[in-house]
Amino acid sequence: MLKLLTRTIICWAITGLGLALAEDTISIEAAWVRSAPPTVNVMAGYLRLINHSPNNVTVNRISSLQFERVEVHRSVIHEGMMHMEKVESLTLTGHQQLVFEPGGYHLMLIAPHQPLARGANVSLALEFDHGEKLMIETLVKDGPEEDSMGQHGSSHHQH
Amino acid sequence: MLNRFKIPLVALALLLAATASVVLLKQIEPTPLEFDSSMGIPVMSPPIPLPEVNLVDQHNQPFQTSTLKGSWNLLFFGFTNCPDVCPTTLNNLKQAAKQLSQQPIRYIFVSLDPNRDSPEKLKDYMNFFNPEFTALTGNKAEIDRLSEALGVIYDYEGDTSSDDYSVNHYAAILVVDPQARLRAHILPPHSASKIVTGISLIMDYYGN
Repeated sequence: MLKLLTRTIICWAITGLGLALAEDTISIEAAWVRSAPPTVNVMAGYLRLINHSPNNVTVNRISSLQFERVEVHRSVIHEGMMHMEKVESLTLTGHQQLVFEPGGYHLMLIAPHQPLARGANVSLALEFDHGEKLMIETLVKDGPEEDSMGQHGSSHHQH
Repeated sequence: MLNRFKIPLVALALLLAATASVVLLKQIEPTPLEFDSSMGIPVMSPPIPLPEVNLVDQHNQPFQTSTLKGSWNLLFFGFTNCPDVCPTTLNNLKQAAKQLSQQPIRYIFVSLDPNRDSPEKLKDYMNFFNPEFTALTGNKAEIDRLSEALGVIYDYEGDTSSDDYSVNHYAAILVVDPQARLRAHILPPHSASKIVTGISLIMDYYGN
């Protein structure tokens, strides 16, 4: 009986520890969507993705309520020539921070369901291979600077 | 009597001719302006004349290369389906234009994707950044003649028969002088301050 209880407690402890670790594995900061003419079919999203764990974490899927689909691309400028490369699989190594910024990694937000002007909200969902799902609210802005309210894109977790 | 002075007179004439040539050449093409290589603004000396091409602007009005004459021009080649580099650059040009409002500079966006970028589409696109900027499209062969002369290389990636392809392209801002000659490239990354510094120094140095 005692053996069973001990084993149960140990299992709970491990699960609890696992959940605790998963809780803060990934965070997202400074997310924003670049404002664009109302007729465009694609907009760019930028953010900072932080892996707080020592393990590799892979992004399985990114989606948005406001767009048909979301892809990750990287602008690479070599000798003045700009190439845009689609990033099929995005993995962050342990404790890696990945910055999405103009001229580099960016979210390609494809086919908006309706035009999104400056100040409009954009919801993004990021799903990771360890089961974590992050929901984030961003604003459409001209640039990365803080808006007058001093707010950044805020995120919350779902399991 | 003149015979005695024949050689000195010829020498003097040659000296005057040489001096006149140097002075004349200096007026036509001065010593090249050179920026520090870290700035990423290579200057062409002598400048490269552009071929005469026929394009159309966002108001469906004809545009010839000769229209570039009479003022300094900043050109950028891109496409409206570009989510990152083109809007970023146009935004920087918009900010630069505000700081350069006293200078008679023309800002021109040239589409490398005439298949999707119609004049109407360009009009909506440019209105978002600055309706006073010029946006050009037209026959691909004409665009190619201009882009080749300016060193703007590009290619299409993806299925061009669909609506879902991208354009890889040279992303420098081209500086064209009031004689419609390519004078400099402003290489990326090109912030508004880099654009303002670059074009101001070039205009001060080369004048009109």
